[in-house]
Amino acid sequence: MNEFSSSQIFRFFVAFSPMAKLIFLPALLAENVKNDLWISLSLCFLLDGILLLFVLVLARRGADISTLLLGAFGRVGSKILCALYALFFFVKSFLFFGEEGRFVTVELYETVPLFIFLLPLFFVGFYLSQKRARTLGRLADIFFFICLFSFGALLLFALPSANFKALLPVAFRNGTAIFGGAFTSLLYFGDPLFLFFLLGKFHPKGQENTKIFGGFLLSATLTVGFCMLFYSVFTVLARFETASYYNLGKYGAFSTSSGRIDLVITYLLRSVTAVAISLPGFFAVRNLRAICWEKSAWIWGLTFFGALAICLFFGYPYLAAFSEVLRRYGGYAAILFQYLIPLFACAVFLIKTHEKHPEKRGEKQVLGV
Amino acid sequence: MGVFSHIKERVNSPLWRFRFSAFALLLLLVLYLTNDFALLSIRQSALVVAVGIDAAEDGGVEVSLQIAVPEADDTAQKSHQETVSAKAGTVSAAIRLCGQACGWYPVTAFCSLIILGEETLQNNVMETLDFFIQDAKVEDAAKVAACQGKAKDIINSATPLDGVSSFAFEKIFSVNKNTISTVNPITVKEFAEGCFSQGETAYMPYIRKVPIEEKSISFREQPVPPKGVLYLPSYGSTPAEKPSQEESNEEKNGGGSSGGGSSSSGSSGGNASGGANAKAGESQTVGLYDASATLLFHKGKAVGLLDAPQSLTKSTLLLSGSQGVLPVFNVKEQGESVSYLLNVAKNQSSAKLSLKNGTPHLKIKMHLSVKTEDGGSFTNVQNANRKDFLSPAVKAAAEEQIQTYFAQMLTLCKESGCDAFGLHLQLYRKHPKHYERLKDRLFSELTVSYDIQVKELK
Repeated sequence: MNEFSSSQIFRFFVAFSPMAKLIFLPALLAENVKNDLWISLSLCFLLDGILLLFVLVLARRGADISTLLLGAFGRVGSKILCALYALFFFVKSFLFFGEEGRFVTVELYETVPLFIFLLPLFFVGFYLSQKRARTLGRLADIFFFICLFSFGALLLFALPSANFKALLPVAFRNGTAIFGGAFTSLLYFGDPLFLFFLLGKFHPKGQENTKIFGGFLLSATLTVGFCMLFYSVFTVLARFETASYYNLGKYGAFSTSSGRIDLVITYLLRSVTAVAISLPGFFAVRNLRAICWEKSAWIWGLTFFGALAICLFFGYPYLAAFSEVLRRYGGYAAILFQYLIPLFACAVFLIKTHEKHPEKRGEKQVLGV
Repeated sequence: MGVFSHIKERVNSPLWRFRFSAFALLLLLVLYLTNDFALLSIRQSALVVAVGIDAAEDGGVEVSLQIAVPEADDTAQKSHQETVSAKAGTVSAAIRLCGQACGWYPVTAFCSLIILGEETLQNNVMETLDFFIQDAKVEDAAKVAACQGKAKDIINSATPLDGVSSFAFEKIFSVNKNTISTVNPITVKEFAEGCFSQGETAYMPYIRKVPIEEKSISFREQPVPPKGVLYLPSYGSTPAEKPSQEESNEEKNGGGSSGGGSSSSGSSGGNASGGANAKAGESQTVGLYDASATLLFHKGKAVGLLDAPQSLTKSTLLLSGSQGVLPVFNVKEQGESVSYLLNVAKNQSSAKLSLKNGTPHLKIKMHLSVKTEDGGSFTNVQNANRKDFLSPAVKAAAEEQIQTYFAQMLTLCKESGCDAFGLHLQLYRKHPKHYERLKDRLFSELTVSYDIQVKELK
């Protein structure tokens, strides 16, 4: 059954993929990679693009996530893997929710206790985790336009105060820093992994794969373009701007004459971010359900978001240290879980299907399907 | 197991699902509706519109907050200001102290002006301004300026037309933001960007308070530079006379900055023991402000001063594509020296660095299309010039004048170490491979060529 149409996947990438990357990551990259931050981001998107290509090839061949994992890792292995992925998504959720909390407490509501703010977000995450994949598609339909409008308006606000010469010189004396920046950013990437876990829920036909990949490219362009704009506006001070788009539009003539009208965009983007940061939780609950109690999504949802709430509640004072550790070493986990394991599973599937049905493969080639 | 499956069955029933959703929604509503969203009551908030920072005797800072107090009378709504000041080791501590002393929470998000007193210029000003850059709650789009004497005096003064000094400055800076003028406004963010760029150079307007008795400001008046700041005047004296000029300036300044210049009268009272004082019985002085001088900073320290004509030239270079006016002096007409005011309708200016055989070369281009706004002799209707006609004498005088100002600015850069033309940044961006080799001897090896054309507007 096709729960997720290609148009919805296109919108899914555009609406949700840039969001978690645009909270603290631009400032972090600006500190380490400076004006070449966009190259680090592009490298990460390149890795994501490779994974997406494999996922799309598998989707075209009618692969299903459960058979894929069973084929590659066996029954027990796939269950262990699901548990490990749930843990990995928990780490990602911790990072994203923590950053969102810091954004709010630093920039918006200084005196609101963090938990009061995060509680509704946990509800959103929990509610989403109880839904089927088609809900993501519907949300993408809604937030796609909000996202496009917000980015467009932000561009109009920020462009007059941007100095793109600040991005020069390109890739000069920054080789190690560029790769280091890409490595520390990897935990924020890996969106095609979500599609990997949705294999079997969408079945692209004809030119639909191009459309999906186009959505990915558009989201990559938006993210990289936004970060270039961010650095062009703040230049050497970009590392202090921990809430990237909160201050981006305030230097424009429109904002200075009419007040902080650009904050409307901030709040619109926050609504999209609320869903975007809940996505790892959504897929973690799906993985946990695959281990046992498949029909009791609410138990796993409560467990996941309850644990997340407890960890954030007690761990928030140490969040900066946690985030630093996650950025420093999270890249290894990201490479393993976001790229190596899915690519291995894809390769095993492709090899097995090739061995099993060599005649079918030849037939498909002849028919040009 | 039986109990568990029973609970599961009940929870999965539509009625229980509805109850659970309704409860969650209710809980959310209660949480949200009982929250004040951290919005402080307006009655508890002091809206800080300007901050003045002076150096305190004990090595700390004295911060003066200008707080706008709206008041309504029978006819119209108007504003007046209250000034609260405090001394502390850091700017942040002093602002908090101000809040504690008066019981109002100082909201700095609406601060539009930061004024640095003359004494703060002796140290690295970024040590003072870093608070405004790093703290997210403070507005870094606020304009920053230095002033002669104490910032507190400027904060606590008013013009005959504006009761709140920062409102007057807002007008002065906003009017001159995108037009060629003697005032070069800059935000804290832009200033910090300049300080942390490759050239480590930034600028800010240097404000002088003109007492109300004078009521006039002269374009050609020479500013009094702060102590230790290099100034090459456009008129009168030559660079060779600089030391004596500085000495005379210090004399004029009434023994340096401790006296606070001409504007410090009536403002020294009452800040005894390092705490905060609210108003302290100071009376608001009335005067005009002259912000036509521009202070140049290198590595955070004030090193050079541009007077009004030099500031105008810098503004013309910075705001390529903008319009404005250009005064021209010493135009010889019929044996007399007369002045002109040219209206610059088109401005194409740039200062581009290139490398010629490994040697840095600066090409300053300034193409101005102008028409005569005013000036010249009008003794005879037949002989009087039309406004769209630019006489060769005016053209030559304008071009020579601009080139002289540029030469003076370059000399100032060489002597003070600052980079008013952003050459280090250009070198780093365009020729990064040569940057390390040339960065320390850029100005000593620099060759300069001028392409200055003043022509009548077609």
